[in-house]
Amino acid sequence: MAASVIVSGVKVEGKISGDADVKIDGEVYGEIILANSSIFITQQGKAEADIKALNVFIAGEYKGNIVAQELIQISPSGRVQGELKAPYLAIEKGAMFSGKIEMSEAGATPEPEAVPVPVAVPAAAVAAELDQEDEQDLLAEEIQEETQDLDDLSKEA
Amino acid sequence: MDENNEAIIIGGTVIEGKVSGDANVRIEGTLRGSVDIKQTLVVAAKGCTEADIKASVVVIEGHHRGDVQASDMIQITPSAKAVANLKAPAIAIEKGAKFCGNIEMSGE
Repeated sequence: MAASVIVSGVKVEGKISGDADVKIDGEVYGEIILANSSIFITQQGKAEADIKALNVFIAGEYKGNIVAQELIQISPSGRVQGELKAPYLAIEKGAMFSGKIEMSEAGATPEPEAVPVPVAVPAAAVAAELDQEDEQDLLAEEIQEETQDLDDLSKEA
Repeated sequence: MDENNEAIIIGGTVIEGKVSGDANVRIEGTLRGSVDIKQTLVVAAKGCTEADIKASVVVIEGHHRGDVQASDMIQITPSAKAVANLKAPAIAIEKGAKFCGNIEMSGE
């Protein structure tokens, strides 16, 4: 699956969200909340962020709390500090870990900021729960409107 | 250190915050916040940015809103729709681009 890649040399401070996988080769500080995708922190990567994702694979440096819907895996080169919560967990020999582990039940659903149930809802309620793609379209539309006047101007000229 | 080291934010990923560093960055998803990088930033045709940008080269092919400052050049391509104040020694706005904002051509 295609993934967003924060390459080595790049630092992101803030919140990363969405429905695409994220691969961290650089640095991320803040939080990462992915709906149904996974996070890969490579050997060069470093993240200090609270994470909510499907799977989290750590081969680099990580500090924070993770709630995964499926698997958290720490490779031999991983150095992790924090609280891990997932139904499946793998810590390989050589990895460094300090913190707390809580294994939730398999198939546990995430906290109730989850996907909205498809019921006939009024437009306002739907608008309040835009998924990432719609948010992008909305911002794009706003910018489009702001530049639309130029079309009218050129017609008058 | 790799040459052609390019960070890519694909469609579906949203970043709210600051992106900084020394690499090329390509945005096909959404970015809200600010960018301060030493190399090239490309807002791809599908990309959407609402951010103040500082880079050496900035190429806008998609939707963008925010101030842009480049030490080298700014290019607004035909598929771009931008609301921005631009500042760079060289600026190219291609036919078909929708642009609204101030332009200042000057060295940094």
